[in-house]
Amino acid sequence: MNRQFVLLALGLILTIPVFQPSIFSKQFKPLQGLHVVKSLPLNMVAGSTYEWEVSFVNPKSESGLMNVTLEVAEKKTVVGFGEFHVEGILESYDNPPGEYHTLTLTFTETGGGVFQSQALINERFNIIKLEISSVPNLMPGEYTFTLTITVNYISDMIKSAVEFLHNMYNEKIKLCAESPETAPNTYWLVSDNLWAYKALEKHDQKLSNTIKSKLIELAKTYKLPTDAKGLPISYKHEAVIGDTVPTPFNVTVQYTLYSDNYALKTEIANGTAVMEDWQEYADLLLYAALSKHWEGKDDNATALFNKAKNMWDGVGINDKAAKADGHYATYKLGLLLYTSKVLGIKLDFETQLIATIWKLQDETTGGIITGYKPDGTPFGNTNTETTSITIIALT
Amino acid sequence: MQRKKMLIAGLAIALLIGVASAALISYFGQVKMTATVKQAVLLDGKDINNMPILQTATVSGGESFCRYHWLQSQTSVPVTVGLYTWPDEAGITVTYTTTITELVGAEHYYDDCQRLVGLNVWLTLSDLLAKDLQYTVNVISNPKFAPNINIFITDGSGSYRVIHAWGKEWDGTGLKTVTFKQLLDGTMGYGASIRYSLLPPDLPEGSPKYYYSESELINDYGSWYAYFVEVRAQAGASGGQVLRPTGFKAAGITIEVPDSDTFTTVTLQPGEFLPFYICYKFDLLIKTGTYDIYTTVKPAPAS
Repeated sequence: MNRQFVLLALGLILTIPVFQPSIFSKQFKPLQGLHVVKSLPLNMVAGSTYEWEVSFVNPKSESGLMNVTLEVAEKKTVVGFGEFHVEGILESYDNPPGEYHTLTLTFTETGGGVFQSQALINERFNIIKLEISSVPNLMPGEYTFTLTITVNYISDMIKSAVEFLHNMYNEKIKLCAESPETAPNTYWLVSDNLWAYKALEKHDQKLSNTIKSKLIELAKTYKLPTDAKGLPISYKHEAVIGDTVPTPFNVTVQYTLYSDNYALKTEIANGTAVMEDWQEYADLLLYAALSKHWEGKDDNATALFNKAKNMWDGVGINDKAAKADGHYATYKLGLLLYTSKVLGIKLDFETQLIATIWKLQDETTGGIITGYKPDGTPFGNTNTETTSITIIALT
Repeated sequence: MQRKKMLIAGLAIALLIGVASAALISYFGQVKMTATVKQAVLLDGKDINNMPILQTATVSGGESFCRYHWLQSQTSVPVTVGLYTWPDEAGITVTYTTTITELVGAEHYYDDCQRLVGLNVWLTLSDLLAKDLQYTVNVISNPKFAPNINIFITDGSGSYRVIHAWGKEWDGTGLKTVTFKQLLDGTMGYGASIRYSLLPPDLPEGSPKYYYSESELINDYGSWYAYFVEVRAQAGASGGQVLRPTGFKAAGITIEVPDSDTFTTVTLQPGEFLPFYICYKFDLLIKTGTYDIYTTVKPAPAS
């Protein structure tokens, strides 16, 4: 009997890795109460505008990223770019005395007849009102209009990301590794674990404290520059945890503290040369902005923040590094979002920014992929640094 | 022993829950609808798609003739259509001509004290060919003015016939409509014109006094400004359509087809009904024979 239970338990445990990918992958649950309030007419005329309304219930009544996709297709012909135009409004409200909100949905045609819009929703009840118009010279035919709505919750994003950090954590070393694929045996004190401890503070206090203690211990051991709490610093990244940093920034030097069956590394901006062009890098501007805020110099902080914000080109933060690399860095999105929250300046592209991060969250591990190309294709791998700053920003 | 079993089972369940909770959950919903999209513009009441107008003509040199057609917009936005005629034979000139209309203007009559006492609004329907048109005139007027309105028609020769006299049958409130068929059948060939006048009936030259009733002089300056004219035409059994609603300036098009390779474009307003003629003119020296001439109408490409 005892042996049977042990075998059963072992079987269950061994089964988990086998099914893990499918369990970890994105799961879909039905959107509650989705129904058509106002139908499109069965017969339409090219060149005219028609209304379509659907409503649904926000399942969790918490902040979520809503993706609305309208796909127009015709049996015999290919729908071309610009043949349809879609405008939309989201009306949302909670149970009384909840406030009533309206939000304009901006649709982008991502393919011929495929329109996408994203918005952050908070309220329980939501109505999407669409106005669909076509050009007068639209080819007559039988058109199918498919409206797809997905809602992804920030809390789920964070939960998955935290799970990623759990998996990156090495119990023996008491730190998170850099990356599960490219550097599973490399442990960066700064920035990875400095940010990981901060990211886990509100989600796994115990683990956060363990990492923090280890960082303090290693800083002492290797005589690294530290902040007032004894945490290792880089003269840059500690701005995220509430420390001030000096400007202008010096060139960053990467140090290998230990190298054997694993490597301990850190980086410090203590090179002899000063970075004259530091204001062309969004991350440095944002570290400086945070630092000025901690110093109580919010005017300076805002000015620096705006410089970084203005590097947003509609796809990503197109700073000097992005221009040189030909791809965008995801962690800078998290850094920008976090700084905007600290300074209390809402980004007018916040929804798009969060949607971009969401697309870069690995379905299997919950980690955030480090970069993406101008067409939105993920570039790079998941890592601790990017995932940590994302958790910090979204929490 | 029991505790051990529970521990193992609990461990397994906890692992399962822990893994499952890490999944990225999307809430997903989809609705789908199918609709039949029809052409934006009708030609002669039919879908213009792949429907060329074929005009076969056996001609002698110097002949010309026109054929009546109509376009109707079904859209809620302005739509531009292109007319394209071929073949582009030497010696054949094709023109597109709208049938109607230009509201030429209005004349105002004043008494000795410079008070407006009458007006004459006219519009000219030109280039008529069809024999079965039916017209509707809608009038909104001031009560004091309305009973004196008559509608006249002329074939363009200068003499007017009263085709409708409201007199005192109408108190002038609201919209008043009169419908009449084309009265001058047989005399209104292509190029003739008709004219409608809204005119106080007894407006002799030089007479300053016009009466709303036997005792009340029409002398309210403001009362004369409230007039509204709308003409609808109905061809055959099709429904009455607004030709140029209340437009005081609606010049027709007369476009000579410049080049068979290019569209001649016309913009239709939402719901507009546009009668037009395709006129064919054959040069004196054209080779006698039978010609097939095609015209297609297509919505112009989106700009």
